[in-house]
Amino acid sequence: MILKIEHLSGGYGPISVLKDESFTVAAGEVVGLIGLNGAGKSTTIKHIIGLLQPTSGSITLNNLRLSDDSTAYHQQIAYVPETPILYPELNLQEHIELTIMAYNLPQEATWQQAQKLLRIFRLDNKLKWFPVNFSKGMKQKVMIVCAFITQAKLYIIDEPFTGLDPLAVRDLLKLVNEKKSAGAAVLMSTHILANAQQSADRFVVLNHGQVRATGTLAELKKQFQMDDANLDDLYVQMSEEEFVE
Amino acid sequence: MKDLWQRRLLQHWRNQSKYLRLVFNEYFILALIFIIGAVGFWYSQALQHLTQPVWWCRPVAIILMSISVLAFKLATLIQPADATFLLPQEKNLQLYLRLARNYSLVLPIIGISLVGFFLSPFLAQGANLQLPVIVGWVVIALGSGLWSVNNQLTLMYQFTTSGHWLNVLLVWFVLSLGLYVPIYWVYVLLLAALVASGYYQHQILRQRPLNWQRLVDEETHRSYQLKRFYNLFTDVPGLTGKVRQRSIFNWLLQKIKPVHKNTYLYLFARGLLRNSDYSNLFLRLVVVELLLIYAIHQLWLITVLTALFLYLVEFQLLPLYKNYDGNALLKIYPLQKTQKFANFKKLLLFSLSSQWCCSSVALVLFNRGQKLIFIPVVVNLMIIWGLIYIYLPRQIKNINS
Repeated sequence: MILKIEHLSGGYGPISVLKDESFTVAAGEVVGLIGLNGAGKSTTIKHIIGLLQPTSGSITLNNLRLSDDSTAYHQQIAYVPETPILYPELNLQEHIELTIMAYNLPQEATWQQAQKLLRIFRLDNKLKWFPVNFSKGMKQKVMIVCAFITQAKLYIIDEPFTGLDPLAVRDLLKLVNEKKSAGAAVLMSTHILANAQQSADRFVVLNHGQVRATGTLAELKKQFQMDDANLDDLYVQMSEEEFVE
Repeated sequence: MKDLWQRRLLQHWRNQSKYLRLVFNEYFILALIFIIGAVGFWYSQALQHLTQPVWWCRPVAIILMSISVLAFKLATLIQPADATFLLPQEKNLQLYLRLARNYSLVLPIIGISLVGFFLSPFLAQGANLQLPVIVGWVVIALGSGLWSVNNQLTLMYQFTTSGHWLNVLLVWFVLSLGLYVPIYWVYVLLLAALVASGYYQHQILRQRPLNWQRLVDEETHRSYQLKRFYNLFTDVPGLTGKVRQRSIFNWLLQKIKPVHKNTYLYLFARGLLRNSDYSNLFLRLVVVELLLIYAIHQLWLITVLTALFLYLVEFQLLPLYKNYDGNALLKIYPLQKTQKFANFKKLLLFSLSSQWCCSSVALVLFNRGQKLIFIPVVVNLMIIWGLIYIYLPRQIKNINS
């Protein structure tokens, strides 16, 4: 197991958005984190990456907690945020260089990898441009490139498909697959269920801050007792369930 | 629309009074009284040197008055979201904008009258003008101020920038005429201009669409300028400076080795160089310091002043430390807090050392023959040491706690 979340509760200030969440993400698997708006997907992710502190429960990454060694903990994570976070004063080349410096990556090898990704996302001729002036989709691609050049063991991708053109979506899914084959764990939160169904091995379905169901698509169908359903149908079924405290 | 304007105005005043309270604190008022007193004293002394009319009196007055007239902007209190939410109400927005225009006329009237009041002794002595003529000129300035603000409203319905430059040129022209030509002709000209611009505006507003982008941009810019002024006195949230590439200094940036321990330095250096808030500030302070070194030759005074400027630069660059604290990615990178402090210290040391080099060169250059000029040079070096190794750690500890 790589990422283990046990009885996680937490939220923003006194409001507990997450209630007793538990799930795992293993090496070499892609887990789709799905749920309605406000279900707690982004909040869960913020807890994992350390932006929020849990009120109870624990999050371990390869048996390491954030509080044990934050540097080693963060070295293992790469994060693609939902909204691109860019530095207004840095151009594209410098964003990549900063990532290389921050994660202490080997310069030459990482730049080769970066060039490959930039070519795939058609950003290779924009190294001297300032990403803060890019379109939303291009900014998103910058975040993806910066995350995927790290040698992280866990990739956390928060709603990556919004704003990407169909080619980029296909390329991103290919990248996710490559990282999965290389042994990394990928936690991907998304609303685009078609993509999730296509690329995820397992799903964690959140509702009202709790884990409603986990498992492969087949296991979810069993849990929801809907044999012929696809992910969209299960999603709609879940949204119609009453909130039980 | 009238409702909307009144609500916006009320909220605007609430926000402004919050900041103004912080600006006009006891210390600032005291300093202001001293400054006004000193300037008044200097002004009266300088006027006494003007025993006869000088050729440059009128041009200087025209320049100063033009700057004042053109400084007043149309305050529309438009927000970026209006371009989406108020789009269907574009026709009705004209009422809102007219109310905004009326409101925006008050400040120019007060401001231009004050400037005219302060310039009148200068004009009386330096150009030998009688009071009625000066008052007439100030009235013309008032007229051109009103005309300028009204024009800005018309510009919101135009898509070229030529109207703006026409505005500037005409203000200059009218003000210049006012001091060189019999005033009654200028009154006629100004009246004609006001009537013409009023008619033109009426036509334009009826026929042309609103330039929403310009409307939003102008108001954002105006509000930004105001916030920057307030930022001198207190922390204004959400204020980000313009970013300029300044590629001429890239060679300096290349000197930072791209290794893990320099991550923060890599970021801070680019922030300092390219964020015009910081780089312009640094430049301005150094330039003013050099000018003072040129003008002042008393040893003790220049020692105190150069030390003060080192402190000012350190104090004003300190916010750069927290500049990226809102960036979530920096919290996720595998970096240590100690690296942040060490890197920031390095950058500050570099900035203050560069400032020290410039000021020392200037000190020696403008004080040739003064054997004791090494005193401020050495004192400044000690000040830098004290600021970086004693004062800065304490400031950072306060920030972190």
